[in-house]
Amino acid sequence: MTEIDWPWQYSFPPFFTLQPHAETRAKQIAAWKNLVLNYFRTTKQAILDIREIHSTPLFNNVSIDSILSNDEFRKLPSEVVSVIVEELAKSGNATPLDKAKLRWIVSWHTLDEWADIIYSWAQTNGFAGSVCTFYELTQGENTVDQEFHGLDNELLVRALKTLEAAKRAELIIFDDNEGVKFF
Amino acid sequence: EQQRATDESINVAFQDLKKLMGMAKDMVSISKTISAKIRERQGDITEDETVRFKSYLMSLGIDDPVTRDAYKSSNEYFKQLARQLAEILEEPVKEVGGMMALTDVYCRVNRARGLELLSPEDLLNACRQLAPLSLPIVLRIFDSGVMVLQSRAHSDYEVAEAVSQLIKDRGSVTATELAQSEGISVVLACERLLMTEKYGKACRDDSIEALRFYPNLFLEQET
Repeated sequence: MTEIDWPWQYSFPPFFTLQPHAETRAKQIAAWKNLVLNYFRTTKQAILDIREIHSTPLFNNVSIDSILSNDEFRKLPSEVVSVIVEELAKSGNATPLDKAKLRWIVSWHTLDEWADIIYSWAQTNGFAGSVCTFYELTQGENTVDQEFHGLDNELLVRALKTLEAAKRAELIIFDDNEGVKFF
Repeated sequence: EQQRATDESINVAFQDLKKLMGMAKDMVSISKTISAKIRERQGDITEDETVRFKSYLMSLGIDDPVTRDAYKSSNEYFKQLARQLAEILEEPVKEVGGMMALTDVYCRVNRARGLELLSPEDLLNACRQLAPLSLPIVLRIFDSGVMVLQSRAHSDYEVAEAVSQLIKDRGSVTATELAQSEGISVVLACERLLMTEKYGKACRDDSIEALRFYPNLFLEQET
């Protein structure tokens, strides 16, 4: 896993408590949004499950010294994580996967941006009119230098579906074969 | 023989009390009708009359705030009391840093009085008169509900500045630590910290250890 460039806020204990002062909170949430997006980009993740946030270093800083015990470290409460993903959703960087809003797709690009990136790659590399498997797109040799290399499958499918809706691609899914045809 | 005599005198005493309460009840119902009448024709009655009526209510111990507040901000008695409070508390309030919790005020005043003690309501009502009378100390109610008397010269902004400087010097601070270093009560220390936070000069770290206040790096530090 690539090393994360943690911002200064990450080792500042009040970062892990939602600030009541409005202006301060705005800055705090903005910093969290940046950090979350950056973290997901660096680790090539796309799914954020609020029930599982206690296992990710993103929301748990074990290195902030605690006076009482070493087990108790700074962690962001799940309510606050919800607030942050809701904010991410407002800017199009997060989409809930279930009604309870516990599972989210998080991405530093919006789906439309991803769709454009993939489509223009397909255009410039002569894949228009031909079929690519999902594996080729995200793991293949042709896309190693592309931003969507290593992209989460769920995110990829959603991005391609926006292309499909715009009549610029067609998804081909049967049995275990997953591919896409660009127009 | 003696016991019977005691019994009798106790009985008489209680009967008298019952009568007294009966009389008071009449007074209460009469005063309620009067206050209803006053309400009906507000303009016809002079200010002085309502004031007098209020002092009757006071001596009976009837709590009828709606009508009482409607006619005059409060009783003459409270005004006099307010003046006295300002006189005896101005210095002590300054000594403790410009702010004294109302519970402390209550203790101080009643301990000094000995007899003719004040009820909490009377003290509070008197304190409410401090501001309208432009006396050197005023009542202040924090968002948390904590009530204090503070000297008029007191400035929130200056206190917030001082507290934020102290937080910076120490790295971070809890209400208890601030109370110890400033020689004030924890309740007031907490209010000072919350006020500093409200000015955007501190931010909080709420962990199981304690509620600690830090310099507000979110606003001060440019990323």
